Amino acid sequence: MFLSGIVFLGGVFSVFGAGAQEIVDYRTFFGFDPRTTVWIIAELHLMFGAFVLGVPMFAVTVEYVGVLTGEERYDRLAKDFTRLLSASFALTAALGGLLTFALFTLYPKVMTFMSGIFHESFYIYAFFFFGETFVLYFYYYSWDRLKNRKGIHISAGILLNLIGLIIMGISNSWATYMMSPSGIDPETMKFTGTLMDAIWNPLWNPLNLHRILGNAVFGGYVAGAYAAVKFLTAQTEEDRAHYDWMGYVGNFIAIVSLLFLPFAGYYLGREVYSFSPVMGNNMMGGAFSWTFIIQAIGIGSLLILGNFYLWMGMGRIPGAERYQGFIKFILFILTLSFAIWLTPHNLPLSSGEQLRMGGQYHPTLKFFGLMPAKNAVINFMILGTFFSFLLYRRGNISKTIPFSQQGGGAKFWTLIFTGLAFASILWYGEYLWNLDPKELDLPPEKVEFFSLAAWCLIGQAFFIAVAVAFTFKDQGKIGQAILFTYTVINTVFILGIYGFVVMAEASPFLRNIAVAQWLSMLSCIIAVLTIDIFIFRKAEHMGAIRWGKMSAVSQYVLLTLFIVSLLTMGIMGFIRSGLRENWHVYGVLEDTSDWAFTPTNLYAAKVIAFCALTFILMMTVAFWLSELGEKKKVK
Amino acid sequence: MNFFWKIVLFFVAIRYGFFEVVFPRVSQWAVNSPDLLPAPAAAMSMYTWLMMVAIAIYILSSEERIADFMTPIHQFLKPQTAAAKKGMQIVVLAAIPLFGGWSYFDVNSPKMVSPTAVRIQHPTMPGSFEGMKNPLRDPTEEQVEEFIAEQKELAEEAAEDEEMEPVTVPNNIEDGRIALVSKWTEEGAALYAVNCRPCHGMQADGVGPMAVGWRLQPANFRDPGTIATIVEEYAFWRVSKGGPGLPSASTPWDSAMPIWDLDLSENERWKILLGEYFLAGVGPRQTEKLE
Repeated sequence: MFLSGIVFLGGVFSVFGAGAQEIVDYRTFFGFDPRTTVWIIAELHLMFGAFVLGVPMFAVTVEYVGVLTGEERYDRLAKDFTRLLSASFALTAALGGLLTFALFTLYPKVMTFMSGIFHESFYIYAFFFFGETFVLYFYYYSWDRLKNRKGIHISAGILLNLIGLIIMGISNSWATYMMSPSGIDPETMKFTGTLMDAIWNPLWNPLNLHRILGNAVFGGYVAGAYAAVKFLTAQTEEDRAHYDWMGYVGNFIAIVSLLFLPFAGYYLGREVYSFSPVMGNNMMGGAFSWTFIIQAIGIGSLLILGNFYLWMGMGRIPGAERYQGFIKFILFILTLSFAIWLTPHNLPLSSGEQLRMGGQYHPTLKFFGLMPAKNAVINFMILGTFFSFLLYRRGNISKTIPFSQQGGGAKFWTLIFTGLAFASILWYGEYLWNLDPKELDLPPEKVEFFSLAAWCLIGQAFFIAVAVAFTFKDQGKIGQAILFTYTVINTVFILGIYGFVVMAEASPFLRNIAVAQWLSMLSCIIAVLTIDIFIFRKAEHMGAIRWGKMSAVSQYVLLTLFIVSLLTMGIMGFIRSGLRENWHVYGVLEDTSDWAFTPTNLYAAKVIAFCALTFILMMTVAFWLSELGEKKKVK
Repeated sequence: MNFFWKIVLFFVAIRYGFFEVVFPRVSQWAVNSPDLLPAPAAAMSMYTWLMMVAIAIYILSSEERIADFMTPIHQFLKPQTAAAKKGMQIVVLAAIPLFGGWSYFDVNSPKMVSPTAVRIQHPTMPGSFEGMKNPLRDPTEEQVEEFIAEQKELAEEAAEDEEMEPVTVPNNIEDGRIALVSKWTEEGAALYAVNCRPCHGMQADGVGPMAVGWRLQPANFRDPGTIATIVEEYAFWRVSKGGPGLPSASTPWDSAMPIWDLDLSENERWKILLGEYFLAGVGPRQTEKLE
């Protein structure tokens, strides 16, 4: 059988090996489209990579929380996460190797070009990959041995994260260089810069930031999905309670990271516009505009489903029924915002509808398709989600201790955190106040558009101070309500609507409006959460959270969240890569292959769905293998 | 009224009351349109699905709400003894599959309606246009000096000829530059009036005298979602190549825009853009600085 296998392989090689001596720019994968081949392998590698880089971030955080609180369950959770990691690490590396083979054999011209610029970075990458391997296995296998020396163990976890970030940064530089090449002589279009010029290209840092947060979100959802499967198959109450809690933590970490992700995405998008307005137009208003609507549905779904899970979780908190009445209002806001979020500027219309409306744009709905509307509603959705979380937190709290009796530490930390929020808002307000229109290539008279945003931020800082003052007068809840209300009015209604004016009159300033909205929203979250922590500290509870008492529906929501995040990641990757159009390296190295065209959304959807399904299958096998070892230990 | 009927009533009120009755009238009032402006079918379908998902989330997020919602359904499905109730049960149970069948037939049966088309807002611009700059926005020093010299000659002529209006001569290069761009803008507005105004209107608001003749109304440049969101070379491409110059990847695209590079010089097309943006009261999208 072995011999016949060799004979068969020999036959295959003799058929497909014909013409191997030719020097070609492109090859096919056994006759199959090389672009789709690379796409699938790269996507799978990226999905595993995102998990392998995302999970250590919170494994270390959870382990540290365990040390701080002294609760054993945190340690178990962190170790559970890391066990998943070690199982999938080998698959990530194997896929990385396969991707390298595929790229060098299917796209030799491109890889000659890329290695001409990045060859040194390949060795640095390999060096850190070795480092990652050693540290990861040390971190996992020394868990029990270093049980009493947590300082060393946590340091190893931090080192693991640092190396992971370096690895991600290096590979991001290759991907972003292909989109926004730097160090190019504009006359000859030849690379004349240094390796660092190539790495530090315009989109490198925006993508780094986006992927760090994206990985954390993704890691959270994978852990949540794992916990959901374990919950649904759990045989004991204890296991059910543990995996219910694990699912909650996974979802919590994903949501917290998700709050920052839209802003990181906006930053990346703006930088794409800044590098090439045409690439930017293709992304949001052109060839990829409909793909963006699909990914908007993905993001909105993640936020709504995240809330759905929290609301269902309130069912296991004694006393949370007091807050059930709020849910319909939050849901209304989320749904309304989601509707605006996914409304395109150009709606699909029949000729009859075009005639009735007198044009391509619906006279009122068209405004929902513009960036200021999107910026306003995404902030509204995030604030709505935060409000759900606040309700969840205080679900079982009954009698509280007045803030004035909370001790010096509470007052000190309240002042520190709210002070940070206050200072950052004022800092940006002051920056906008003194902003020179020349910095944005705007004429001097456009300065008049800057002051309203600055005033809004000063107002935000003022209401942070008001909230703190109320807290010190033992009226923290009123302070929170005032600050929250102002933040909604400020970010959604004032700056949101003003964004339309800015877009028409001083469009480069729109990015500053977006930053002002995001900072206002973030400062509100920091201040309100800080106050919340201290006004409810040492409060009496109406009963412990009944971990494990969750409906099966909630676990399917966790699974859906994971699948939606997986698909959204695939769609975004397609957009990012597709923006290069018929260029391997945008504007420098043209794609002259037969596959130099943008695939349809339908084709992309099929490839992404295939990748997602394959990833789930591979992950299931990897987790099953890791379970085998655990079961043996238990026996 | 029990929870089940409240949900049903809410759905009907929003789907039919708000979207069919209130929204078209509010839109009509907001833009002062002579006709009602209902939401297009694609938007309606999107919003309806979203609302149904939201309702499902609301019901499923609490055990009590699930029970409240399902109780009337369970009661209705129980075997009935009273004739009226039994009759009602038969009618409803028969109506559900009939409604499903009718809906399927309605969606799939051939009809004489125009198809719904997905349209891309900004078709992909050929790479050869990327990075082009309007040379008339920032004239060279030689052009400004030449302009100042011409103005001086005109001023001298005007001083001698009483019928001529007085001519202002710029004091320095900077003033000269502003005056020259202003002159080109005026010339651009004049070219716009001749070539573009019939469709796009003198106010650049898309309601020129010929606008009603088109099935699709010409673009309203005062709308912040049109020329204000694109860089100037993009607008230059659209003016130069018109509807027929659109890439095949961008179809379906309905545009009656002529190919202006057959009739107007490059300089005239750039001038038209100066005039067009000026008349619309907006500026082209600026290429933003990288952080």
